[in-house]
Amino acid sequence: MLGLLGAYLFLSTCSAPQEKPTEIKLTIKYNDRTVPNPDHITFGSRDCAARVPLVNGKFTVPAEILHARNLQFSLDIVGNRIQMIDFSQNELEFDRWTLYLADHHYKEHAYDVPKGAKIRSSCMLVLDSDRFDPGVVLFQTHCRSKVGALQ
Amino acid sequence: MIHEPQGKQNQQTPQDLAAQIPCNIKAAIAASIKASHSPTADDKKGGFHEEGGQWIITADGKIISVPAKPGPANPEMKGGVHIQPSDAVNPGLKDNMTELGGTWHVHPSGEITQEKGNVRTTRSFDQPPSEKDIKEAGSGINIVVAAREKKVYFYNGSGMLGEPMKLKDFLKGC
Repeated sequence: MLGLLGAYLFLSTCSAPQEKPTEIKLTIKYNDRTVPNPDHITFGSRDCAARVPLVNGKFTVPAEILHARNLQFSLDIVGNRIQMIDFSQNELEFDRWTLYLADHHYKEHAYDVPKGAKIRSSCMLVLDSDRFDPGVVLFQTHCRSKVGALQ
Repeated sequence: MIHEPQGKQNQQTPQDLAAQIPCNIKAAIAASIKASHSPTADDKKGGFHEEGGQWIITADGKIISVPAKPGPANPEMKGGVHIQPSDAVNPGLKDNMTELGGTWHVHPSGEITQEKGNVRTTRSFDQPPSEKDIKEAGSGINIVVAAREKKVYFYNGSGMLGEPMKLKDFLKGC
């Protein structure tokens, strides 16, 4: 925990309320297989940006981001850039995230996929916690692109 | 006998457990699903609150359902909608209780879709038992009914028991 806290790389000047940061465990499943996490995840909002390291599958959401509006985050994984927008502050209270990506169909949570959705450019994020029941599933379109296409 | 020690439950399949639940209890569970889809005082549309309850064995050997008060509505999907299945609508039903048979609650079917440019975000309630459910699993049989997925999950304090059953298979024969 102290290691994670000490590893913040902050890029912004947004305000920093004195509040305990949230530690979140992230698992990424691509085509039904767990894949290694990237080394960082980037959070952003209108006013703030934070590049947060992932250590042993966990990252700590900076307290500054907990209070930001119009939150989004991005990460690069298996040649894809994932950028999820319209994330709400209360969703940061779930401390176990599973990000599902698929090229053709989602095996798990298939019932959460809206009809006609383009799978290859979509993302599904399942949020869980031992404090809230039930968890929440976010399915988002146009959140995934090839990293090379952006550079 | 409905109540089994958790060690024994670990060896039982969802089909074994479902077979132990009498039809009057399955009917109460089916009624909870319908109620979760339906509006309440604070869930104007329906589908954004939990329903549930317990079943008990009475001193005279009857197995009866004890429906719980509906959980709070959460139409904006901020935080949870957790119900207390032991918070009975009619607590007097438990006066002659000798044993807890099991506990059930419904994970609701509601979803919210928002669009921003070409990005469409759909939020829905996760259907399987949550970490909180597993952490708080009680004695007897524990059930989450996935209203949108139309499946029935069995679990205990260690996790899910086997694969979820189709709701129609769970209710078959009643």
